[in-house]
Amino acid sequence: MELTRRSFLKLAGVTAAAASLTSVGYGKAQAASGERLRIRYTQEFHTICTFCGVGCGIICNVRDGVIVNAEGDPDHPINEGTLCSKGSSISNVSYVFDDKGKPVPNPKRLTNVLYRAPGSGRYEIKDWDWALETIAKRIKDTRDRTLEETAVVDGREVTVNRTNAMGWLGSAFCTGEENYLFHKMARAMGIINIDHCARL
Amino acid sequence: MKTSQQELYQEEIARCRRLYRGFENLEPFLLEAFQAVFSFIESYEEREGILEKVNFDKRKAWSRLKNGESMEINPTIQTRALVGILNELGQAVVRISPEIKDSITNFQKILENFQEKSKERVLKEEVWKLKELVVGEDILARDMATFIFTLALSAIYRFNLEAVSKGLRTDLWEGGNCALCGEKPHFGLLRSEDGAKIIECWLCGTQWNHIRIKCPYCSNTEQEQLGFFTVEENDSCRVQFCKKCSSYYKLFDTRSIAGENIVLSVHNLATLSYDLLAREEGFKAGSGLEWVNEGEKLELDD
Repeated sequence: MELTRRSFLKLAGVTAAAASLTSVGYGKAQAASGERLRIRYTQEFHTICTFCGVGCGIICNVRDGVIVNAEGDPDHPINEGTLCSKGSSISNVSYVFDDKGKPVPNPKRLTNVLYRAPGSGRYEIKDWDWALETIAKRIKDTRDRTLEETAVVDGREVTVNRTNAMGWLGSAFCTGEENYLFHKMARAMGIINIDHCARL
Repeated sequence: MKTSQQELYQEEIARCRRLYRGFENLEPFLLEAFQAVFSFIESYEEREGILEKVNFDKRKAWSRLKNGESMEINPTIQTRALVGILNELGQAVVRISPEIKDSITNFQKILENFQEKSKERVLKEEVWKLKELVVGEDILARDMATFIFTLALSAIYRFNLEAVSKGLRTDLWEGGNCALCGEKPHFGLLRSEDGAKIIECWLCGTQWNHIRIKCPYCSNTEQEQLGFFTVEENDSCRVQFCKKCSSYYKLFDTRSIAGENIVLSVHNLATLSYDLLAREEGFKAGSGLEWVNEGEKLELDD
């Protein structure tokens, strides 16, 4: 038998107010009201520590567009939630101190791509798409303009397919696999001046 | 459940009283309710045993979890045990506020009826249907129904699945729902050692690691759409939200809660006002557990 409202009321013979948590003393509304619990929104963003070559993962807490805290990323395979003393204080990098010694967000922090054309005395704001496209185009142009297909070695002409006009600097923030790919890419373009930033 | 566990709950209630404003009003009822559940399970265990047979194959578990499939283990529930616990909880309500005796009498009549027409054992889905019936008939308000039914169900689930849950290779599990029973979570914690996000299944108590900046319900990892809110005077409870699926869940930052053996389900009950805030901010519970009654609103001074 499906119990409908009517059949139930007949069965029970009485109607009463529903029992809620308020009726046993707990008003959620009162707990949150009165002098109201003030809500603070925070967002979390992944980043990589800028200090050394280890490349620890960091989670930055951002409130109203300002970094308020940074902590080690527990899901990052390198540091598993830990940070060194420099890394732990990295959120301070985005602040400067005013006349009264109070930290304020650094007004000079770069938030756009700035471009200074050759010979120009001023910077222009550009977007990332433009910047990446321009860099790619210039790499390609420089490589095409300066590529040596052959060179004379010991009086013999040999194929070299190289350019001396560019160099490639690897990064310790990248993984071994990424650096392997970058190396392949540099070689494919004929770059022979390949170096690395590691301070070993 | 042992008496020591009851002491653990009592300590946790005391800790929550210090942490969360307004919780002291729920405390007498909560103590009654936990006492009711613990003593029922203890006496029931002696009489005929509440333990159900759980089919768990350890070898299969490894490949299932690795493939991203939850074990979906849902033990059958002895109808008598369930009705017994629900009845005890109804009694606890009456002990705290005798004036709502009538609605509890109605509740008990519905339970009797449920026991008569049900088989000896029921599944979770049938229990949810019973809950909806009780709410639909205006016998229990939604928050009270969620409280009573989740407490009864989780007590039975935890009792049956505790051993399996402890041995489960949750390190293989990357999903947002429970690795063991498949339920959607409602709360979790940030581990004190490293800040890792550990989600706890409200139903069976299984804990697993979940990526910090990821929605457990829709797997969204878009950082702009994810975030959390806290309240100014207390940052130990974070209400995490995802703007893609408009869901929220709660995380308790154990780095700012002193002590060990933190019982998350008590913290969840102590922070129901945060559920109300979350709903007012436009989010719904990703777990599907509705802790807020219709029409329940903040009462503001200004």
